[in-house]
Amino acid sequence: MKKYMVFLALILSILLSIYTAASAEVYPWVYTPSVEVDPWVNPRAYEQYGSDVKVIYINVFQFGFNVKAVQMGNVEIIYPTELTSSIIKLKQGDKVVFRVKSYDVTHGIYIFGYMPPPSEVVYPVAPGDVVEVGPITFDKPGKFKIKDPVPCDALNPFDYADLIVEPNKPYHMLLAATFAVFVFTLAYVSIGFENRMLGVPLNRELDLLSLPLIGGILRRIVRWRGTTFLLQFVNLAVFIFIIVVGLIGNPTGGENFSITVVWILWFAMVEFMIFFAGRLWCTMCPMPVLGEWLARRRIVEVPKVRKWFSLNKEWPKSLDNMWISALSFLGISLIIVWLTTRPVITSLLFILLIMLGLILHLYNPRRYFCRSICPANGYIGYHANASIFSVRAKDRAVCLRHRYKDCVNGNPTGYGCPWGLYPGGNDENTYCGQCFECFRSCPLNNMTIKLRMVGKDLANIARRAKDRYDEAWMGFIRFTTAIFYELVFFGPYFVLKDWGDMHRAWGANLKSAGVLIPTIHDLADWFKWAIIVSGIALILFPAIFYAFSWCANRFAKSDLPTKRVFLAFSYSLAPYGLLIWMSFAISLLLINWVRPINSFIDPFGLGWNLLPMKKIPWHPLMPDKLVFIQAPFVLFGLALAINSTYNIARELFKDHRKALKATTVMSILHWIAAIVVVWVMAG
Amino acid sequence: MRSVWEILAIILTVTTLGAILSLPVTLPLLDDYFTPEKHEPNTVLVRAYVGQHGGFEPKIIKLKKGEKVRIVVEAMDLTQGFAVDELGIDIKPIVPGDLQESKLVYYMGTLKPPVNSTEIVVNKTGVFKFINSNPAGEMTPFQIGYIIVEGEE
Amino acid sequence: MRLRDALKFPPIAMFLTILILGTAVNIYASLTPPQSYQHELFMLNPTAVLTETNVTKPAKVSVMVMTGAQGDYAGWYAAIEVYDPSGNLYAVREGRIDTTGSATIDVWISRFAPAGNYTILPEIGPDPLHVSIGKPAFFNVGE
Repeated sequence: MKKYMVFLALILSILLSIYTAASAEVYPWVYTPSVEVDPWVNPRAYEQYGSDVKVIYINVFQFGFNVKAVQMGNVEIIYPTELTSSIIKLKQGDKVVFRVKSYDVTHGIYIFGYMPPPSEVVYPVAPGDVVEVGPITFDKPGKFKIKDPVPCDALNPFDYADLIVEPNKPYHMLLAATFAVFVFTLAYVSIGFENRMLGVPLNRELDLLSLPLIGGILRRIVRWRGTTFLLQFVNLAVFIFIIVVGLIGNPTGGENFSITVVWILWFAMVEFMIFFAGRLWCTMCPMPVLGEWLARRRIVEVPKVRKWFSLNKEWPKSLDNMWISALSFLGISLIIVWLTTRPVITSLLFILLIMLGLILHLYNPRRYFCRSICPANGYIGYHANASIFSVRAKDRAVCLRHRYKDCVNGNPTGYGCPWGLYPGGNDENTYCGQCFECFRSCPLNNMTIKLRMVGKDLANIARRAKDRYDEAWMGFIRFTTAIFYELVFFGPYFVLKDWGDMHRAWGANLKSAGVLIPTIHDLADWFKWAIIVSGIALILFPAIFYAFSWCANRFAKSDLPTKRVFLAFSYSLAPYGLLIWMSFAISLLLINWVRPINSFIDPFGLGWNLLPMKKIPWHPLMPDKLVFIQAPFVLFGLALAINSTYNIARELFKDHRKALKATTVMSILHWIAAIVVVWVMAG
Repeated sequence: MRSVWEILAIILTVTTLGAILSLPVTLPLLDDYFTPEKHEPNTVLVRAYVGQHGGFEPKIIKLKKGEKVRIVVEAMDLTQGFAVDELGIDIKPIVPGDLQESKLVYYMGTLKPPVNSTEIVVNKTGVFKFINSNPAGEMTPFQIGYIIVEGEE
Repeated sequence: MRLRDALKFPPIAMFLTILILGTAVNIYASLTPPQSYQHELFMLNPTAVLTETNVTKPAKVSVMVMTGAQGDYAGWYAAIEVYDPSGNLYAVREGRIDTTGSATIDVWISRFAPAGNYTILPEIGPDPLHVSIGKPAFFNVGE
């Protein structure tokens, strides 16, 4: 297996590189008279502004920015039309005038940290016009986004270029910070503390429901059947509303409730929910509820005699894993450009998930749709093991003595665990959907909520995971897509976005869904995107991880097969990936916070006023500090990854020196990953 | 036999989901109710979509000769324009959505508050074509409609 | 582990499926020239011709939508938007251009419809999302 994987990865990487290189246009840097570029590039512009002012000529289009020329005095530099033409590099103190032109629709220009926000003034650039902005003196070093703040249809939320003012001190500082975290965390684990995470003992837990006063109230809330119903009912209503608005509302995603609330608000919130509240989303998720209610023939109560409206077939063992969840999450990533910008696609996905939930509950009344199929379940469950929140038995000895196992079989006060678990013995968050049914069915009141340090269960899960390739790949997919999303959605690489978008340009509801029908050329480009995304997530990164695991295993002089070490170490990505996703969520929220709020005022995007307030013009929050708000998540994630790796290695090798050696090797990979993330964010 | 809570839960679920699922039918009524411009007297609201999304809505505006009317144009997806050459009307750039609440919009070298409306009195009968004067993609030439002014000559 | 087992491994199977399909589509695309209807749209010049311009409700009004352009537009999308005397959208009816270069589309004026001057806007295009709009035509509905 090892040889084949490495060999296959190598061959495929070579093929992919050749294929991608063949698709890219590459021009050398040239110096030519401006008349050969575009007539609007004014060769005498420098006379107007002074020879110490740079004039940058930008073409803004659906969906990106292209620097056509940079002029300093009478010297022009023409950018090649390739990926780097949307990255501008300046020196600190440069004075710049931007001459901006559009050829297709009206765009705009806004430079984070250097121009007044669009809530103050908007600079629309209509086709045929040339808009001048500046001169602007770039006195703050760092990386700043150039954004098109004027809606230009579907991919406008991702219309960015990068402007780097050198020396890029924030970037250098963050690189130094990653190195410092790498060194200090390794130094910390080298001391040899067992069963700790960054100094906090992992056996320390807080029983939330035993706290004075608040514990009792929480216990009542959790045990009350109405709690689950109300949470699910509200979310079901919201999601059905999202489906309807997506089908008949404004076809432009940024104006439609379905896109703004799902792909900005919910998408970001879920990451934080996982960290602080485990699988709380699954508690209230509306996708399976119609099926579950139908199968139970009940919405709230527990009938005395249980007659399932279901075939009650046994769930196939071959499907009782995370493969479908993981690969369908990747599948969603392949259409993510459409999903996050076209309301009709979001609606169709939700309709599909609700129908699947309904149908599969008719096959088996338990939550097998959730366990084995739902793409969200896979990643929520995987990362929930890095959560501080858990549902566990208060005292396992009590459960062991209790013969009947009401939590599995059910009784008049509660159903048996819908997730097919034995709650009394459960010691991981992966498959516990936090439905709290066991709280209601347990006659001994022995279930509780425990708060604990991040990563408490990881070492045990890793030790047991001898064949859990599905969970490992969930980790790889999530880790790589976190970095990829940040790069593609907030980065300047418009070619990739265009490929992922199949060059379709326009938003779509049900009536205008025809705009999404691609030509064969659009489909061909989409496949290039799909090959890159799936190649990195499914093959390249796992192959690199495997190579590092092999080195770690050899360096530690362990007798264990590399496969075992590889699978075990993959669980270090649970906290790491989660924290990187949280940093992506932060950028999503801080940049696009206005959109969900405006959608509550005008959900259909028709110009309504449901709330007694005006819409807020789009502008980001703290745009020039964004990187410093994101960075702590990445650094914390790096520290957790290194410490988790050590804890897992300690559990595997049962020896501190071997564990430290293996951790040192794997930490290099974690550190490289952190550098990549920091480069994407700030470099 | 279901308990009262169960029955209440069923009723709540069915009525709420029923109300939401009936939105495709009730949307025009809700639109009339929640759109402020539809309550203003002597105001015509025109929603401007790109050609692929249907162009102008409505495509026909009926006015009476000599009647003072405020035409409000909402850009629904991207920046639009509204021009009636024969009547000397040209509103642009009409920035979409929330940008209408921005303080200033740059246009032709000046900064001015966002515009999306104009008041007109048409003193002649006839059929007058309106177009999108702000290019919005390849279907811009096909974003058209007509103002029909009726009355006695 | 055999190659067959490797190919059955889900991530490899998924990636190879995408790779093979992608390669096939890219090869096919490189052999297919791109298509555009932009030029034809400019030439279309849709016109609406009514057999009767004065009707009494309830009545069926037949509208012939034709193109002034030369060429074969059989199968192209045709539609009429009908506006009532107040300027409200009364109906949208669709059809397809036939081999004679026109489409006959009917609209039913019910007894509850308002009386007065109705306006018809003809549209023709390759599909409903890319249409050229022609000049309005009028008809009067009496009680």
